[in-house]
Amino acid sequence: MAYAERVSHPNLYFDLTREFNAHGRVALLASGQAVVYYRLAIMSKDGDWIVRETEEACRRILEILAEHGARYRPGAPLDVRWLAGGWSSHFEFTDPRGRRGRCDFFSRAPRVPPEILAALFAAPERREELAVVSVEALIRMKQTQRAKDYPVIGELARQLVPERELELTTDPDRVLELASEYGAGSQRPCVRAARAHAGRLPVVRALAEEIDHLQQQDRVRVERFARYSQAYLRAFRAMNRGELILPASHERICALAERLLPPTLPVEDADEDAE
Amino acid sequence: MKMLSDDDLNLKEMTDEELAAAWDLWFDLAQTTNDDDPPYTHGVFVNLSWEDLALKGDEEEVDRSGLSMLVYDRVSR
Repeated sequence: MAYAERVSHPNLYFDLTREFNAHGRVALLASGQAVVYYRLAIMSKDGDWIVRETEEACRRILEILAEHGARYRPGAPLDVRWLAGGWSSHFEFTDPRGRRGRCDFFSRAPRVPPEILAALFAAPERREELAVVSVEALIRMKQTQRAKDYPVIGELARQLVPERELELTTDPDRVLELASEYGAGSQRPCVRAARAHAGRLPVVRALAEEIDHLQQQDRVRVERFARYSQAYLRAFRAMNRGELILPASHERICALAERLLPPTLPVEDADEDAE
Repeated sequence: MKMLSDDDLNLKEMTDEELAAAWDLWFDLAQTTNDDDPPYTHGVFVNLSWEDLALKGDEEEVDRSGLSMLVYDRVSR
């Protein structure tokens, strides 16, 4: 029996994911709702998706959002020119029960290698299965500046095979448990510390340093996008709500972005962009 | 030691119907904090605050969609 038939009040973001992908896989559910899908925690009231980086995928998603009466929030156009540069697009709508839904889209998921993304979109489609990012990709995406993401990473990693869990977990106890059997080839300082049998504290310290480094990297990445979007966001905000409603707003937002939002960040920042 | 509480992790034992019902109830309740939410939780604008989204030197009150109330009121009329 299909999910919608089994469940009387389906998660609206799961439903949207099915709508987006009804005619081919164009969007993978990610972030907080993927954490719900993997049954770890209910901790986000927004929906986030990785978009297939094609014009057809963007068109399909915009059509569905328009059917739900969505409007643009300040953000980049849902257009491959900006998605390919790492920008994100943001929408909001009110569901039939008067609840606010927010939808975030990007195609270049931070820290997820392009080949892994390509494989996720190329995976065989099964009608019954929701299109969701893999656990490992989700962990990479969760390596953000937010402290609350790191306990989730530790729990997500438990769903991986031991070798991969050891490479990604944020749980010092799991590092200590797995390091001797599975950590011979690991370059992670926390794994090396565990294999040196110097006690728990060096493992905890190595993990803390690693997490702090990841948080700082993410902060730098995001700040650069904010810097190059100031003029665009100022102009965006001058539009009224009616001008932001789909589908008519899309061409208007694209025209604004063509004037004020660089599709890719300047060359001098290109190295950090690759994250 | 588990990094999330048993209350968080008991989602694993729920059926699809139970999980959907729990999420639906949680989402209903979470609507009460809409006005206090940050403008973004994901994406490249995540560090922006409501103040950052206000126009420079703009003294109008800014609503939670990032649009000035003055503009919105004008359109609404």
